[in-house]
Amino acid sequence: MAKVIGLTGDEAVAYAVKQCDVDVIAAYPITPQTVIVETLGEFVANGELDAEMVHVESEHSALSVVTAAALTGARVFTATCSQGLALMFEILYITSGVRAPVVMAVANRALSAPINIHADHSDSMGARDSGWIQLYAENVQEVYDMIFMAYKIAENRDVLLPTMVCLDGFTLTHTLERVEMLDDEVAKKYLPPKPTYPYPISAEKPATYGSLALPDYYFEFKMQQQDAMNKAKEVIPKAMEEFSKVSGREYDQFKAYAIEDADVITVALGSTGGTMRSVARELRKQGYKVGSLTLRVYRPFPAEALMEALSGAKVILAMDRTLSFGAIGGPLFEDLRTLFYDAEKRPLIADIVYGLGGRDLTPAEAKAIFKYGLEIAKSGRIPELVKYVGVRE
Amino acid sequence: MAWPWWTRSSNCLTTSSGCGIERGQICSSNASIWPRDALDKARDRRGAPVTGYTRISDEPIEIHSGIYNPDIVVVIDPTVIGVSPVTQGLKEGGIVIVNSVETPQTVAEKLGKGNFKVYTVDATKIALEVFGRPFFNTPMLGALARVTKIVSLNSIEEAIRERFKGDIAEKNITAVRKAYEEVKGL
Repeated sequence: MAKVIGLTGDEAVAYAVKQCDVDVIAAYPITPQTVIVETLGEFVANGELDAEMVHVESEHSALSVVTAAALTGARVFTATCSQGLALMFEILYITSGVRAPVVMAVANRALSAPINIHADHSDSMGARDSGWIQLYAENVQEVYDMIFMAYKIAENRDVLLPTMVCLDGFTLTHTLERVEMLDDEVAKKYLPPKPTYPYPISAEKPATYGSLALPDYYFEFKMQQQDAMNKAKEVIPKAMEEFSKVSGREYDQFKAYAIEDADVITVALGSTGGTMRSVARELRKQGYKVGSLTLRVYRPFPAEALMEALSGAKVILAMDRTLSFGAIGGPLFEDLRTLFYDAEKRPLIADIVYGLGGRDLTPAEAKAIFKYGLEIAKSGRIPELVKYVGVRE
Repeated sequence: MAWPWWTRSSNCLTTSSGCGIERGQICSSNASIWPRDALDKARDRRGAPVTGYTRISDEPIEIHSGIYNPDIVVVIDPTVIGVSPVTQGLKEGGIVIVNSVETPQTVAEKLGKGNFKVYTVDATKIALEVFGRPFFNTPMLGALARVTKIVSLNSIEEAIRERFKGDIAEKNITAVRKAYEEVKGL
C-alpha cells in the first residue's frame, strides 16, 4: 500500500516536486509559500534531491531563472503568491510566449493594499490571461497530486505551456491533512521522460527565444499559444485519467456532487469547493435539490464539459473569491454566463463574491448561499446579480 | 468570532510556523482516521496567542471553514483565560483541557458558567523537566488522548517517531506519556 503521512499543503508540494525529480528550483520565499521552498532547500541540502537551488533577489528573477533553465531541457520549479506573482507579471507572459513548460505553485493570497497574507484568488485571477494553465486544488491530497499532473500536462509536446498549481493560502498551505503518497517508481513511470523541452539549447547549441516579432509575425505566435491551449483541453483530461489509474484516486477537470437532478449548483475554485459539498450533502438529507461543483481546471476553461454537467440546473451560483472592480461580475461568473449565452436552455446564473483577504466562509453562510439559490429557482428572478457574502454592511 | 483552539506558535518543537503539526500528525499515520488541522496564522509569532483547529473523522473531511462549535477545547497557554473567551461556542457537555498548575475545580471557576467538564495537566512543568525548555504543546497531546480516547497513546508515539528522529522523538514521547499519566479531573 502507498505510504500515508500527514502533510501541510506546502510540504505536499515540496514532496511531490522532489518525486518529480526537478533539476532547477528558483527560490524567493513569500508567506504563505515559504515552507515550499524551505522544504525543497532541505531536500537539496541533505542530498535527497539532486537539483540546482538558485536563491534569487526577487520573484521577477525567480521566474526568469526557471524559464531560461526550462529551455535548456531541465525540469524546473518555483513557487510564489500574491505580491510575488504580481512582480512576476512581466515574465509570466514571456514564459508562456517562449513555451517553457515551467510548473509553479501559487499559494493564493490577497493583494495589497491593505497588506493581508490570507487566502483569496485576486493574485492568480489577475494572471488568468497570461497564457498559463491554471489548476486549483481543493485539499492537500489534490495539491500533492496536481504537481505530478502539472508536469505531465505542461511538458506534453502538443502543449508546452507553463502551469500554475493554485492552493489556498493557509487554508491549504498551512493545513495538515492525511496524504497518500505515490511510490517513486509509479511517479517516474507516470511522468514524461526528460529532457522536457524538445529543442533544448546549450552553449554548444545556442538559440534565441522570444526575439523580435513585429506586426508581420507576432499575431501568429500568439495564435500558436491559443492552439496549444486548445490542445491542452484534450491533454488535461487524459493526464488526469492516467493519474487516476496509477494513483487509484478519481480525477477529472471538476469534481461534481449531486448535480444530476439539482435545481441549484454552486461552482467554486479551491478549498471552498469542499465546504460547499459538505453543506450540500447536509441539505440533500433534508430534501433540498442542491449540488456542488469544484472546478479543478480554470484555464483552459473546460467549456464543453461544464456545459454538459451544468445544463440541467435551474440556477448556477458562481463563487468568486476575487473582485473584478467595475466589471459586471467576477471572472468565474462572467465565464459561466458567457458559456450559457447560446444554450437552448439557459440556467439563471448569479455571482457570489466571498472570502476576500481570508474571510472565512462559514457553514451557515454556505447554507444561506444554497437557500438563496433555491429562492432564485422558485421565483425565477435574480435579486442581485452579484451578492457579497460575509462582508459588513 | 469564536477562537476555540488556543496554542502558542513558539511552543512548537522544530518549526516556526507549524504548531499544528503535533496535533494533526497524531492520526495521519492511521489510515482509518482523517485529520484536518489548520492554524490561524495572523498571530503566529513567538509568544503571541494563536488559534488552531483540528477536525478528526472516520471519513474524508470536506469542510474547510473554521470551527465555531467545538467538542473539545485545549488551552495550551493558561494566561489566555480571562483575556479571551476560550469556551465560546463549546458544545453542551464539551471538554476543556487546560495546561495549568491548578486543579480542574479552580480552573472551572475561572472559566465561569457553562455545561462543560474541565481537566488540567501541568504541561509547563513536564516540558521543563523533559526538554528543559517550555515546549508545552506536545505533552498536551498526552492529556488529550487520555481524556478523549480519540487516539491511542500508541498512535501518538508512532506519529512522533514519523515526524521526529532520535533524542527529540524520545523526549516528546516521554513528555506525552507523563501528561497522559498526570492529567487531573478523570
